[in-house]
Amino acid sequence: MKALLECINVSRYFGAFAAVKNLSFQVFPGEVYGIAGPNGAGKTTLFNAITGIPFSVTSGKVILDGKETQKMKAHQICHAGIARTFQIPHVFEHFTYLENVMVGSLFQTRTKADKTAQRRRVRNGPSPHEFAIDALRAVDLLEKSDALARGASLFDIKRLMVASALATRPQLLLLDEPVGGLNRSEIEQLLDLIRKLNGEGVTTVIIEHIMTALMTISNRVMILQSGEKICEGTPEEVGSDEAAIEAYLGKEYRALIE
Amino acid sequence: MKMKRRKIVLPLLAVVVLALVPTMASSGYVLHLLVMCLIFAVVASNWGLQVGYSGIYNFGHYGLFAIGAYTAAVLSMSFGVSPWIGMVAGATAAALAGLVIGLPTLRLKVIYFALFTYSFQMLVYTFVMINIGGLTGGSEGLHRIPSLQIGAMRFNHYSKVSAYYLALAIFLLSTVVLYRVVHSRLGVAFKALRDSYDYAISRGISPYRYKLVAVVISAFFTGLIGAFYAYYIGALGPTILSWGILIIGNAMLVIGGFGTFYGPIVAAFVLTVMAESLSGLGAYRYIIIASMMIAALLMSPQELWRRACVVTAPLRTKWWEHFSNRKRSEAP
Amino acid sequence: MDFGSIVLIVVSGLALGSLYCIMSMGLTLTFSTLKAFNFSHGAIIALGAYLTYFFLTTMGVHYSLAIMLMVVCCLVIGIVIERTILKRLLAKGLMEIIIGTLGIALLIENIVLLVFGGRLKRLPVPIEGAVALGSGSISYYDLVILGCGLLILAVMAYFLKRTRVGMAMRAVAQDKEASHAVGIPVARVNMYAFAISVALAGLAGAFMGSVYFMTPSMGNDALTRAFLICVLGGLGSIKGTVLAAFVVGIIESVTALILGIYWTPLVLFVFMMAVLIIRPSGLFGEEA
Repeated sequence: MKALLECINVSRYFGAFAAVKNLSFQVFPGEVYGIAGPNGAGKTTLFNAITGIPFSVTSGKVILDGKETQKMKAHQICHAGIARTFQIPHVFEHFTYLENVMVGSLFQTRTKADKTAQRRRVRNGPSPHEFAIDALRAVDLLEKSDALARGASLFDIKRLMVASALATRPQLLLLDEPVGGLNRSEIEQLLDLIRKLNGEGVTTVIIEHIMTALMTISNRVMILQSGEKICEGTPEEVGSDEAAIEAYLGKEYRALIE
Repeated sequence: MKMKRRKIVLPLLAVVVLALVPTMASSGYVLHLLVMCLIFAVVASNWGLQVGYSGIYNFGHYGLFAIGAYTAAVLSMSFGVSPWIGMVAGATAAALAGLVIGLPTLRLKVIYFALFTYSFQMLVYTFVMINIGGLTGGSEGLHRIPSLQIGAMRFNHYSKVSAYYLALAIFLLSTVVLYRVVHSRLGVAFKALRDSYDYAISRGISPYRYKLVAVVISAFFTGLIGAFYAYYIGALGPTILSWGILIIGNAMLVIGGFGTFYGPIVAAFVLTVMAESLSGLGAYRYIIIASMMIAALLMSPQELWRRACVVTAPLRTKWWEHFSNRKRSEAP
Repeated sequence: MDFGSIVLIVVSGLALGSLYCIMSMGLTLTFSTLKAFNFSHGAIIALGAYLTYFFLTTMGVHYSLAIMLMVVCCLVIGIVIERTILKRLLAKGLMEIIIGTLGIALLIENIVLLVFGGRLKRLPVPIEGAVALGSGSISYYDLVILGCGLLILAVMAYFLKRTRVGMAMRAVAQDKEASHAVGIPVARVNMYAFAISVALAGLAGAFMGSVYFMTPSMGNDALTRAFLICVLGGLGSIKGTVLAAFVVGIIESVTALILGIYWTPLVLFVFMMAVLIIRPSGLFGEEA
């Protein structure tokens, strides 16, 4: 099976400091790929470099569905099909919930080909407005469509970010610590949401600190440390890997899964 | 529903009032003042599209106004072009200039765009002053610019009523177009970029493209009203490129409010009248307006009002006490 | 062209560059430490010239004393502006900084106009006479400016590298939050940086008042050149500003000689626009 996302020797330097160093990995269509690692391992930097916000990779290749994206501008990378959420909650304060999501669906028709494709879709399919409604429904926020996003709860903001990402109709969804700061039941609900989306075929890459969450939801996991991959595989394989446990998981984890 | 109604009714009322003004105005001076208000309102609201909505400081905005004015004037005076075509030419020249300054520099950080447009403004000024071939009139300026006319009806300084309606028409055109832009997908892009820049980009909004669109659209109308200005007054000089005018323009944006739609328009009316009434004071005029602008920058109007109340509170209590004591002592 | 003339061009270019160095260093200091682009820098240059004129003529003090008094005034004015207006503008945002400093510029320019009137004035030159060189001559005063410029450069270099306050300024310029974290009083450092910037501008004004004519709007030309120099050197890089000042000084000398003073501003503007398009980060600046 061909990889949907392939990173080949991706590095991101800040001066002489390598936040991400010669990282190579593949993400296959339809899977949930988890990324974990201690603080400062370079996880968010990796997301930033891949999506071009606010910087791109220093060297290496990022290939999405056969197309190289490392030289593209951030908004072009979005049009190519990568959508992300942010670790720090971002929201458009002056917009309603619906408008927040519509920002995702409104700006996907940049090229002429897109426009004709959308015109065809519009004749046969939903408009940006309808797409936004669908996305809101998927994250279970439909009843709040007309509420102003300022002052929304953390759980709502996190779901809004996912919804607006979905509204861009991505090939690949990058979630950066989607459950950070949420309580137990909210975590469960968000994980269910991710599972549901994955079931509908959305390929997802997740960064997460909460190991139980990450391990239960991912098909495969990669552990990063100091910008390098120290381990990759299924949650079981990674959970028994000595290096991973040494660096990150802790010996208690082994006791947990045994 | 009430809110929506208010949004349409109030502006509509304002338009009706503006349209009826010539019937009520007693002197030509009032009409002239209002024409100037309309002109500066167009300039301010278009500048507001760049500064308030797109977050870019275009130092050269009045340079675009001047390009519109001078292109029209020069074409009509030295090349005998009809003023109506001159208006279109002025607007187009300004829009092209906006494109030219925006294309290379809008990708950069805002400060670089500001500096670049500053040198552009200075370049326009220098170009006007150098007076190649006597076309631009240098520091003396251009005089006896031909007027806009249809048949016997003229639209200039001497036929103020017709000029007023033409100015009003351009003002309405510019305002309606701006309104449609702000409430379209473009407006969504502007607001999204302003609320959360990285987030907006991550959802596919190209900041460069939208900033460029904002600059070109506002350049067009600024050039158009600039050309009208030249034909209306009949004379043109480099004073429109002075820092004083720039600061008054800034004040319109600041006092009107960044990112509000009607704010700059209302502030333009207020400040044009104020500048006119203070014009006898020479240097004081700019000192007063600049101080107002700085005060408005530092504090929002509500905060200013609150501060004023707090500061004068002890005085007011004293006055009140004094007043009520006097009353008591006077009582039989 | 004989050797003497070449030396003349070089030395007068260096003298001009020296003046420009003093003129622009303040602007760079403000930008690097406070991250604020001070559009009132030009007006302050004019203010410096007029203050010196005031002390010299109205109060009749000796030239060096007038300069010192002016510098002290500028330091105070800088502190006042920073405490009252600039600090709040910084908290608000870039747009507010640009517009606010423009407002301050207009205020200062008009206050100067009000107090001193708009007629052309000139500061007397403290040292008369000139040295013959090639086809022309270079005045002693130009050499004084050159000397002062280099002296100030040396003082600033020492200040920034060897004193605590100077190091604090460099730290804040690089990372404000980290500076907070190690206990640097960032607000006070900002105040010092701005005060020094104003003093430098005033000094530049005093020099310019002798070399050029004084009008309340003399600051505008100076501001334009200062912009160009700061951009060319790289916004925020003091090293770059120094280098760029001399480059621009020499370019301007040569242009004035070849094309005439009339065309020099045009050349400078076009040059600045070119730099901003081709390499906005300048020689040593940050990424644009």
